[in-house]
Amino acid sequence: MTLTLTLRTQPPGRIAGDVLTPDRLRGLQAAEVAALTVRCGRQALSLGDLFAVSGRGDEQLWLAGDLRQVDGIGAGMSRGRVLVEGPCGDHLGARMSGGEIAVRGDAGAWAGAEQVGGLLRIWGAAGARLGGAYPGFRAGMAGGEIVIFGDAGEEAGAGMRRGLVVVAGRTGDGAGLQMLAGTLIALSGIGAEAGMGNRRGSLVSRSPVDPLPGYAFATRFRPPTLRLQLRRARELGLLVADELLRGTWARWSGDRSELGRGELLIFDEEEGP
Amino acid sequence: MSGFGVGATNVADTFAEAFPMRYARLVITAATEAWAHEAARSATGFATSVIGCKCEAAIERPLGVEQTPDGRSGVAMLLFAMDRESVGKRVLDRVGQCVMTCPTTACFDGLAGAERTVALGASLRYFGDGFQASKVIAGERFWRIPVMEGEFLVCDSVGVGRGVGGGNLVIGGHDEDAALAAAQAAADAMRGEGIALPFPGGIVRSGSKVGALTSSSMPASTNHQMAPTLRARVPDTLVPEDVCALFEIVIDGVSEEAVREAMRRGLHAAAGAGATHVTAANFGGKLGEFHFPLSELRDPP
Repeated sequence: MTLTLTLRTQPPGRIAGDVLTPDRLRGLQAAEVAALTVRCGRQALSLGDLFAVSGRGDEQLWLAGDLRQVDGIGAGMSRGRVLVEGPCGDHLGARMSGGEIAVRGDAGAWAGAEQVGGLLRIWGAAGARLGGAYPGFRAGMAGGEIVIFGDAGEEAGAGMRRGLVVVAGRTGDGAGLQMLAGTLIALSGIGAEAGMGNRRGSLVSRSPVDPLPGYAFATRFRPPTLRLQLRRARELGLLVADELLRGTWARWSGDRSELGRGELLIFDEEEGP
Repeated sequence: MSGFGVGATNVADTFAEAFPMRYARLVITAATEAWAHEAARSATGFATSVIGCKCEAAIERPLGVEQTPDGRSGVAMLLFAMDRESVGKRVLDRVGQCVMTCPTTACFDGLAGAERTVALGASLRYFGDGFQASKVIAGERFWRIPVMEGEFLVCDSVGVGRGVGGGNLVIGGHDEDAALAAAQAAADAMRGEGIALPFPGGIVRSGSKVGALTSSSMPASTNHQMAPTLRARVPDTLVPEDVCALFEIVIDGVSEEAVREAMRRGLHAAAGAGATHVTAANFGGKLGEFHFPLSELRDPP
């Protein structure tokens, strides 16, 4: 059964909504959910004050409304599904380890930050530090999949260790900052200064980009791994042109100021020397 | 000869005897269908008998672009050996020497979800000499091994299943041409999902018996009872009066049912193609766990 929370009134400030996961709400009746409190600055507000609650807590949680003030939806979840109809705040699905989050709207910063598993899909744009590492932590996303149907903000995939991030639009500047490994694909192009400090990560850009000086041109080829990843992106609902699957890509190796085993793949438009 | 008839074909009242084996299914893809077949042909070469070749392997079926993990043309091949460790060694050898070396190929596990696995890319990666890299895609780990053409992509491990090896039919005809035509028709009908016919074209002309009359060290020797040229010299010949040539088809399958149904298809195809006689080889039922009485194949597929 689905638990439904529909926003009735805008909160007075930002809400720490990390209670909004199937793990936390499973087995609770609507009245019990409505009685749960969330922090809003110094205030403690009950969910019932903010949301119309119906249904019973189970594997599926449905949220509706303009939730841009609600942070941490699905954060740390390990199972079930969270469906969000509307925009939501920061830290969406941060440190989630399983299950699926689907958002019909934009998401704020830190979506999927330090995610270790599960699937996060956003049918809109994502803010800065998508799948990134929190300050003080070396590694960002360490597993799972993130699919963004719009654009992504700055420093997407910063510190990423494992997993797959696919952005249908463009990423902001500084994507893959200090990336450890994993793959970040930008189907409309990657922003400037991508892959600074990249150790083993794969950054993929459909449109031309000027590689940082720490990158060196290697070759043009048809990367068999990228073909699998792009087909996986298709399975997850993105439109991926056949030419990307069939075409050749320029491979730049870097960042040589770090380990230098990373790569920047650019859809072949004579990017090489 | 006791037995029954399928059309004009006499079918002996006997059974084929088969053994439990372990198998792996590899999916090989390439830039073109021709290169995928080239790799699969090479990887399944010299794999006719587990006694002499340490494994038995054959192309299972071609795969269309919609049936492969990377959307390219592909081929599924099956490889059988007596135990899981042997499957692992042979798969590693053959993928390393015949698939990785073949232009444009990639190699995937065709037995996803199997309880037991053996390492493939996890071992083959060392050919990358430290330059290899891995990616986990949809929960499955792959290895990227740099090669002169670009990269060879190979799955980390492959599943190993329990199969059946040594199902067989022996097909006889009035003359060599008729027997071969019937055997070819049978082999064509038998191929399909879950079936490997490891001998050349699926057909064996040198059927063997266990041991030898003249040597104690020979593991196998010619099946003299089935050799038409020895009919007049061998008192216990098994070559029927009206038969001048015999061919055997050995069938390895992913299950007892797969082997049985392949034998059924083969028997009826052979009969339809003019075989005068169909029988099967066994060891008196003492060695093999699986018995396939030809009488149970009377109904057409």
